[in-house]
Amino acid sequence: MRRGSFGVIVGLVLMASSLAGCSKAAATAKAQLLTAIGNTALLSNHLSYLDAVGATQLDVDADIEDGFRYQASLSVDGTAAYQEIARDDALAARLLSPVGLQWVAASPASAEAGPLASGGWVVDELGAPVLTSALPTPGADPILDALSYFSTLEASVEAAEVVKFDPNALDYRPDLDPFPRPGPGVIRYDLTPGRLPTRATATGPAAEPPGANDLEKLSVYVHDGLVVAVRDQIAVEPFVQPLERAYAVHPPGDADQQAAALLSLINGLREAAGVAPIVPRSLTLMVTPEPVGFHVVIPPATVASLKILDHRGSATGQLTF
Amino acid sequence: MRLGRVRAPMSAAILALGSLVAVAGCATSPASARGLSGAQIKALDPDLLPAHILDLSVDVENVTKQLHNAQNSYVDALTLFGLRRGSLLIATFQVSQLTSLARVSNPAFQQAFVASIGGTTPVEVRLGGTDVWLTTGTDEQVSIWFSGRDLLVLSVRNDYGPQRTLIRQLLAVRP
Repeated sequence: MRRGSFGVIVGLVLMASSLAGCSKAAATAKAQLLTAIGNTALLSNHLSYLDAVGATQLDVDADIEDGFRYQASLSVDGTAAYQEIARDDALAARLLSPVGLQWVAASPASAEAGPLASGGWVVDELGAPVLTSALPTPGADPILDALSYFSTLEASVEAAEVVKFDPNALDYRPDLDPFPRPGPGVIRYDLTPGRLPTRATATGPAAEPPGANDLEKLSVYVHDGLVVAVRDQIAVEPFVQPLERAYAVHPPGDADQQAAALLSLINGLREAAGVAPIVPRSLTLMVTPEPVGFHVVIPPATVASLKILDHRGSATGQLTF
Repeated sequence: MRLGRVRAPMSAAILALGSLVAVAGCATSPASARGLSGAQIKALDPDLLPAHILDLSVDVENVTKQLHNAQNSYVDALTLFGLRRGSLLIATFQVSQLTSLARVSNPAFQQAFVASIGGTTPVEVRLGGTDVWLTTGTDEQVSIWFSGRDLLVLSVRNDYGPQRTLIRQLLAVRP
């Protein structure tokens, strides 16, 4: 055997053991993160959920007593829009601005003249949403998105590779990291994005345009084994260089203009492929424990069906016994 | 004491009985440890539940036939309640006292049992201070929880309105 080839084998063995170590560390990180998500989801927490979808900013503040009881309020672009309180089977709702219906009503136009038109509290005694069943596509109903976010996050983590944030890693690029570094005692787990096309795969008959998860960065902050914050971003900015290489383009202008041009290019490819365009999105979830003994209460309200609301409401609104 | 009426209990309740036997087969206890046969399973106090809950009347169901074939079970004692509106069975509530072979406090045991019931992946929620697994059977919603050495399984018809209020009331049951 030549000395050179022996060296190559040793190198491969070292590389293989190193890769095995990475894989094991990633599996451990994923298991730790899933445990933290599962533990957090069971607790009585306050959720501050900020979802910027395109040009619209949606804020949800939710206080969760337990799996069947919560109160939540929605603001749209800074305007208080809607509130709801669920207590076991009952759901109380109040419309604060007509814009709220666009995000919670099954059919916003017809809901305008419905029971919420007066602006007072309305209770449907059997109208609470079932948060453990199939819910609307994320992005359609911010309150249900916020309340079911840990389930969504769990599915994302299951499907991704997870690494602990390491500012000293060789491949860490602070200029491409949109999220804050973890504070003292906080562990940040980063989900690796999907696979972007390369120069070889970006064109040709089998080429597929990038999807939203290919342009997604998601980090979860954990303290004392519980999730304290999540940051999730779908944006072109951190991926400008690989996209430029893949599509052999170099749009003019500053970083924002380049990103806009690349998003336009991708969405053009997606339109040609018959799939929905990618809408940039930035989501922040902050989680804090509720005070001990926190309880939600249904306020005095008019009894009526809230079937006008998506995934909520019963036929009559009344419990008949 | 209410007299048990011989009626066909809902499918998930029978599933739960079957699972308690099946789970014993993959027990982490010593191989020499054996579960109980159906004939050894005692009945629990039938007055665990009041005569009425919400709009439902409560009766003790006769499960002799279902227990007859049980072997190597984790159950020491068991009672199956039927909750009816008129003559229509709306829900069943199975209270099972588990043997010392059952590692009730072990999350792996709990998950193995819970996973064996229902047609969908169980979802865990915390209600008050109790962890409850929610799943579905055929046209029914199934809720499962543990209390000390006791296992409680509630199966409710899909078309019964105040399901969550019913779960909340039964969570207060302490066998």
